[in-house]
Amino acid sequence: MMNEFRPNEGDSRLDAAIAAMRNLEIPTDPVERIKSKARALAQVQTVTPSRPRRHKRLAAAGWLASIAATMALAIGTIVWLAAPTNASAFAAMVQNAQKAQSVKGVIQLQLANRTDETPFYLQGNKARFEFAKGAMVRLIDFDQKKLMVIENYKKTYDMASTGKDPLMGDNNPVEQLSHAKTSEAKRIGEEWLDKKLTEVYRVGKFNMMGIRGEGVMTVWVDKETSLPLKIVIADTDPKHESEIRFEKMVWNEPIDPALFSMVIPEGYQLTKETGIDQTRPKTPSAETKVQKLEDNLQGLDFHRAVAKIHWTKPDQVTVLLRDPEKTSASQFKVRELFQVDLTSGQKVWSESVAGSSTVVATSDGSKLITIIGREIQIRSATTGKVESTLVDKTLPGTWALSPDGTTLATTVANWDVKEKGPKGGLRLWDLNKKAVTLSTTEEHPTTFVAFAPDGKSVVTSSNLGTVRVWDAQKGNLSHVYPGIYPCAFSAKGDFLAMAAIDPAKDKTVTQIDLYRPQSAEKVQSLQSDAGTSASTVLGIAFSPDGKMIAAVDWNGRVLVWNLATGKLDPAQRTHKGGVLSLTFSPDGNSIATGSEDGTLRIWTLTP
Amino acid sequence: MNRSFDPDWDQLVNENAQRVFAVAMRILGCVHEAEDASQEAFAQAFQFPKHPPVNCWTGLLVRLTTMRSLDRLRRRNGKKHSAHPLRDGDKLVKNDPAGGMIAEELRGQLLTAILRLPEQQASVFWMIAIEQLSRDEVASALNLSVEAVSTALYKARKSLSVELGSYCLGGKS
Repeated sequence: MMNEFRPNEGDSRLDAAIAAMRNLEIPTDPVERIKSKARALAQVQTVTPSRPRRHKRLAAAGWLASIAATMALAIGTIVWLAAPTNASAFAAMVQNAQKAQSVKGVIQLQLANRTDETPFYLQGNKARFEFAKGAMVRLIDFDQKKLMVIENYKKTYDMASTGKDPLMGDNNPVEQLSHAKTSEAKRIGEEWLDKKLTEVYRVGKFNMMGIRGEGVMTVWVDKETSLPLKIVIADTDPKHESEIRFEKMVWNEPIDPALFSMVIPEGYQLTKETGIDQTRPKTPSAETKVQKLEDNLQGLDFHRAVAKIHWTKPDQVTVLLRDPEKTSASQFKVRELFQVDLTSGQKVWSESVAGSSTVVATSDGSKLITIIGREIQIRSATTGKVESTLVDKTLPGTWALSPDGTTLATTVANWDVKEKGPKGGLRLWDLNKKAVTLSTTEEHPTTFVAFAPDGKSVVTSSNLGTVRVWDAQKGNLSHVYPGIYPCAFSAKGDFLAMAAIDPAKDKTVTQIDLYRPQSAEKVQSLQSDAGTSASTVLGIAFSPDGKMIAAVDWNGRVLVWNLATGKLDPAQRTHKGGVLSLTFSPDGNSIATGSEDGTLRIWTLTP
Repeated sequence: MNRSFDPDWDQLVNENAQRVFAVAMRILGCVHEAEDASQEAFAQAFQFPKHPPVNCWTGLLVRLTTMRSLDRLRRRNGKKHSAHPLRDGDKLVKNDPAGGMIAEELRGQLLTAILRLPEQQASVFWMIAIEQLSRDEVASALNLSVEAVSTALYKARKSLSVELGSYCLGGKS
């Protein structure tokens, strides 16, 4: 298979594409289905009598009558909808639900074509949720402030002292009902549901899954008991197909107390947190304590993984802190944006950023952008506070900011293997207009995005490769490289560096390849002396003067090459855990790296 | 309706279902959509005017499926943006990661380029280059002369060659 192209080789490339198209494996199973449907089609077409002509006028009259009837019905419905709301009856129902002894049912959570079903049980101050067909069970005792997570597929359990399960907010129907603004409730009609007559109410501007006021709640209330039988909270835009449904709800029927038992099942082991230091105290996010590293080491210990670093001022960095990967589910704490003075180790500010996977900064360092759920938040780098927001309906995967700070690139990463069609994509936002200006699709989930220094092109990649460079104005794919993320442009834009995938070793990177972005010509391959211990590269960065390039990997190594000689700096720079992030200092004399081991290290570079 | 000119529909379906589905699958890369497009092609073929009699049903079915599938692909990607490969390449990647990825890229680029061709050139190219129908069969299916088919194929290849030339893979391996 050819993998090099020059403009005069278009014909051979076309032949290769034709061969690739012809060689595509075609499944045979659907053919029988097509045959049977096509045969049935012939039968239907043959036996369907054509409508006699003399009946056509009558049919037309019938159409007119049905249109008139529909219009009358529609007008009637509008008049009826405009009638005074029945907010007090809705409020009474909410109170009834809050006073109820017990409720059980099924939660259906649909998120962009993915549906999860979770049976739930609430009785008194206890709750039980059965996720993934019972593979994981979460038990909560609100009185005793206990959370137990049982992972049946691993035969493990975990306990935590908390009465607040982060999952509870969305999964608790009573809590969801109490969030509804009763003054917004409108009775929209009656419907029979499981042989019970229900009154249907609708509440607009409902907050759902982190999106403020973007949802609508519809509640089917049993006329006899004044308790809800079904609740549907859906996104107002039908294209997004996001909704939470509480179905098959049964109220005030005794539930077997054994279902809420927090007794450890026989043979189950306590979840082990391998890979992180067990002796370290678990500090709540709001009280993250920063310690300076020992004298001979430069850096800070945050006790949480340092997922992203921005060198905001010569002596100040902003970091994104998250729990190390091996942290058990019950111990998860929200992610935190933390600005710290490097000299003193003192906190400047910190902000909770929930599940935001990364943070990007404008080139002047004045603004930071985080994305929580679908909300894109533009923050002040001085205070960390959100100044304005946008809503992206596609659940952004990761994001990058153009050098002039006016365009935000977000990616689509849909991991549902059952779903056909594009799994990834790139969206460009005009931050001034607060609108998407360009959107493209990719077949695999897009997990990396970065702008070229001139802002005219964007590079994307997925976990499966390849690396693609897109025209940021037109959305055209301009180059495809046989690499995998991470990638980095040099400050002048004259080099594009990327991890080179070795197909023989799954996702293992043995070298960093450098290309000229203008010609897509490979100019250099940088190798480490790691040999068989080569690992997944997690970050690449050029020094501001473009003379050095650094890469960090999951083995904890920080590698620095001199670009003029292509030689690896022999100095040993290692973390105790995988290195997640790196950035050169503005003067290029040092590198800051953040790791799973909870530390931020500053490495001074020798000229 | 006078059905005396009708072909043996069962036989026609049996002989062509595989090919029709393959056309749709190659273009759409999604079983569900390919099934729909195949079904639509059969439905359209069934209602095709029988006067004059259809000379080459296979050619007609391939043409209808090609056009329907390309239409679907165009709609899926929107008019504003470049179309892009949309297929589940897991199988290929598992068997031969590097080759699979490159083949997938090539297929995607070819489809993108085909979408930019005039409809007739796209159909001619697909029927001859991918489905390997003869020029006579294509001429009959599209109601063109054989010369016109050859000209359309030549123009299509030329445009596609230039279009695919605008992509390039960096580096040698």
